[in-house]
Amino acid sequence: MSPSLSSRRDFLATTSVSAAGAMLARRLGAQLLPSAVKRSPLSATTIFPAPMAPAWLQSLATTAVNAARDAGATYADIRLAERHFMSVSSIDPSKFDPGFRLESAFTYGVRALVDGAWAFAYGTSPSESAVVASARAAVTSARGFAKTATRRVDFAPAPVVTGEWETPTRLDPFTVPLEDHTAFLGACSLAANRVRHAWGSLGIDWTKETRVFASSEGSLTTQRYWRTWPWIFIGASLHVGRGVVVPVPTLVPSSGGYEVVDFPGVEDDIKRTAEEAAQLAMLPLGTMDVGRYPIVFDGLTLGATFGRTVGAALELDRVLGYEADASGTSYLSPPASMLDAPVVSPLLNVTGHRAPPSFLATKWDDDGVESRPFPLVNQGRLVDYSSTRHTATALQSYYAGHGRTPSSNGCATAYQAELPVSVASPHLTIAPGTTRASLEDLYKDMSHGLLVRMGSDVAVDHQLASGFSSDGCVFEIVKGKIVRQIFGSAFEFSTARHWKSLAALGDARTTLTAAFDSEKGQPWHRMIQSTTAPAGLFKDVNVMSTRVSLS
Amino acid sequence: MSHNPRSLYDVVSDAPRRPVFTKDQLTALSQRIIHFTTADVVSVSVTHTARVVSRMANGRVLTNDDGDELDILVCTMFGEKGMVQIRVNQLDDTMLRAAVTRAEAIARMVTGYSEPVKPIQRTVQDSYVPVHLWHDDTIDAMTTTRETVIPELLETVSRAGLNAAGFLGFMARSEAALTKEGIFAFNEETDCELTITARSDDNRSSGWGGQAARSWSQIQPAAVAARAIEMAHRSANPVAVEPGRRTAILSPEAVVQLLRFLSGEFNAFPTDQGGTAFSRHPRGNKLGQHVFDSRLKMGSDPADPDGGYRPYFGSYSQLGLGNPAMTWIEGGVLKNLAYDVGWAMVKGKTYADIPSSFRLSGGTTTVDEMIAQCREGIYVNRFSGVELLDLSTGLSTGVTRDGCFLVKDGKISKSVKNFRFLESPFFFLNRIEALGVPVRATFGYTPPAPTNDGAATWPRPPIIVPPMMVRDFNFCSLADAV
Repeated sequence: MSPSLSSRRDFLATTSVSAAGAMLARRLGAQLLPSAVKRSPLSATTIFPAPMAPAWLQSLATTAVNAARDAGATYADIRLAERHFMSVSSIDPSKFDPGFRLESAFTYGVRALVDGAWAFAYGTSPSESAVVASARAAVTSARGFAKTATRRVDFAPAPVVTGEWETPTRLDPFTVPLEDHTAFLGACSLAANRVRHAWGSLGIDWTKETRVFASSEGSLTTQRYWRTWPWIFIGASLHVGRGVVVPVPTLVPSSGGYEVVDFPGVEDDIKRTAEEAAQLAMLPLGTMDVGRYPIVFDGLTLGATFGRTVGAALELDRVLGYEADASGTSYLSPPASMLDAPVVSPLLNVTGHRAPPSFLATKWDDDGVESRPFPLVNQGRLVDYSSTRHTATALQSYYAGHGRTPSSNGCATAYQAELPVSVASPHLTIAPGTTRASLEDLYKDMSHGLLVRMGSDVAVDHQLASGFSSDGCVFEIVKGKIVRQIFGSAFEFSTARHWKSLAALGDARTTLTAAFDSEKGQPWHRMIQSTTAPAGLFKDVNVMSTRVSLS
Repeated sequence: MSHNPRSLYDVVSDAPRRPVFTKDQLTALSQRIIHFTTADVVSVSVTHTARVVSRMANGRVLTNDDGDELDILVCTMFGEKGMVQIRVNQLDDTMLRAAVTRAEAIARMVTGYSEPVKPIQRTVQDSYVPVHLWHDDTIDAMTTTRETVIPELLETVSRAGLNAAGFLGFMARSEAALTKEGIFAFNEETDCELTITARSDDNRSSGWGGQAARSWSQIQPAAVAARAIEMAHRSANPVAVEPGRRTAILSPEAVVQLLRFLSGEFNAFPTDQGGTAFSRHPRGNKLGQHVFDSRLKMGSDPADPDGGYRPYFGSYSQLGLGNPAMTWIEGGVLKNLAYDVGWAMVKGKTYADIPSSFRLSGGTTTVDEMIAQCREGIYVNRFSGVELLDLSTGLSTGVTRDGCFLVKDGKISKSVKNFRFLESPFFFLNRIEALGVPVRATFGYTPPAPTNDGAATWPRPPIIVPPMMVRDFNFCSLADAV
């Protein structure tokens, strides 16, 4: 029997609050960081509705899948989530003026499979009648198309799972006083501004979510996620219109709570980053002639470039053509030709996983499959794809040849509960090189080339077969030394040739974590990808000019 | 409208098959929320959106995704302190009252910006351009069409020996805005889009067709499929052609991908700060200067018969102000920039929203005539992955796809491998050889780029552009994608 709704009405509102440019209280510089952050009546939890009881969410979930099954679904599942979001930011580097945005939402998405046809319905109303109506609507919709589903949907088997899990977290950021959030940002800003010519653009996004998954097979999981996305960038600028922006390497998007940003030495990390930015900003500016050059990518650039090209190309729904009219297809298809073949440099060993502290860490994915680490690339050879229960059976013959039963790799993701489930890249870890090589070691023998740092954006084609990027901070290397900062250039590559041309990898000291947005599905919805990768040297990359003038 | 918590599915209009709230329902809801508030400055905007979507892949229906969303935004302010916004999606009075109370508690604590914020409070109701954005046939089609149209489309593409992937989407939206002073605005709209990608079994050729309109009666599914099939068949056996600057014959769908970042260039504030291609250096802007081919006229009109958009501002600081029809470019001359209310007051200009929806004038030359006139060039069906590289020059890059052909001596000669381009509208709109009749161009799958192009969600605001032939278009390199 569901708990009384009247006692929960106050708690079920979906609310977001933002105070643009507002400060609840400010202790700028009064202390560097709260030495002992305690729960306080002035924390975000006092502003949000009280959390919904997991038992209530579970009850709604099972009611929905039972309704779908009773309506005739062969299979049905639902993802329900209560989500709290808080963003604290001070973007204008010329003044510290923090703003808050607080959001709380309840959403759900239900899938039904009827006679081989899928349908999906979503909603935001936390009531039994709403989820039942959605479940029945999904079944009706699927039944209407069953006759055009000429090919059966093969759903890979998976164990029925029940249980609970939560992100390992030391301190819930929503219990931290809001004034302490602003004090932290103020301390970061001060640490950057104390370095001549440097400034900070600061923000942290915090998400806390309780997500329940239920399936008509009997699975029922309840997971609580904490995710932290610091976007703390330290810049320095000496030339009008040109500057250097450097992320703080120890402040990366991660699963976890307040400890992701509040750790011993964070202020020193910011100060060191500011000093580095200021040094780099003092370099003279220049342009690069078009041509082919050796290029070193730092770990962030290499990881982001890999994730946006090879990583995305390994999403099995793209490979199978499900995204052909949407985000596109994959150059790494068909699987029969690609698996066990060398697709990238033999230096590359890539593993996918969804373990903490990766940003989308989870125990069970959005198909209810337990996520485990799995190899994708072994010494340059492709050994698997990112898959879900819906797509894994496409690899049946390959798995059979390797003594495996077709099963999902746990990559089913609905970034928000009301969004359709897609194949999402897991966190990709590229193993560092085994010989000693720092970032500087990779370019010290370079007579003339480039170093690209902090480049996370790559324009790709619809098959991920080529890429183009003018993102990041680009430096000219002459005789092993950084001599200038370069503007107005871009590098362009054919994906397959590029990744086979990788000549050297940095060691573990060069490893950086990147996280970035992408989109998928129709209509498009947000996805998050993340990578951890070392720096790398590419011997021969096409550099183009993007310098144009309208005058 | 019920005050009891009920399923959102229950709380819809009594009008049959209307999937979103009526004007009366939204008015009543807005008034209730205003009644709950005690702040000095209050505005409420309510948006209800319903979507019905079908996706196709590998010659079958992949999934149907249906649902609706309610979004209530309440902005409150006490005195000249900072503005606090709350966003809610529940209808129950108790929940709404509790959410408003929490927001006002925060608003009272807010110490505000470094300088006091003077709120813009208006007492005079603006009048709005009459628009006709709602079409009942689209509403009917939401529940009557896809079970017949989609099987026919899949069958047609299959008979042509190709695999179909596609998207059929319908949207209905109603929205209202109300301020404490009684300023009120209402809008309702429908939209639909059909796209088909047809690919050969060996994935060596691909074609695409698409149409978008506010009224389903303007969509011709058979024509969409026919174009996709034709492009796919013609795309077989592509050959590599030397990249470089060539004459380009661009379909409207290709043109719209190139121009979708143009709206941001018209934003007056960053332009006056030197940040866009319409900036003049060392200071100022290019108003009154020749910026494009003299045949071009670009304008935005909420009542555009092929598109149109909400005739009033939605942002909280300008809520309910009428959005006038504007001429941005005339005879190739920059006539207006988009000044928001605050900057317009500073500069003594007319305010207008940035042109997320616009019409670019054309001519009368058909694509066939352009091809017939062309000694050597490239026909481009569409682009994908288009990204803006530099707002100050409009330089962008992307890749051709789903139909790219060499034109030689007045005929389509052969299919060619796809190209990457590097171009800017500020260049190619000054190299026009011929212009066709403008149509509402279908975007197809076009998620927002990292640089904001003004449309985070589907469907994108309508843009009406002609096909065009331009010289010296920079096809900078070959792309391996098919």
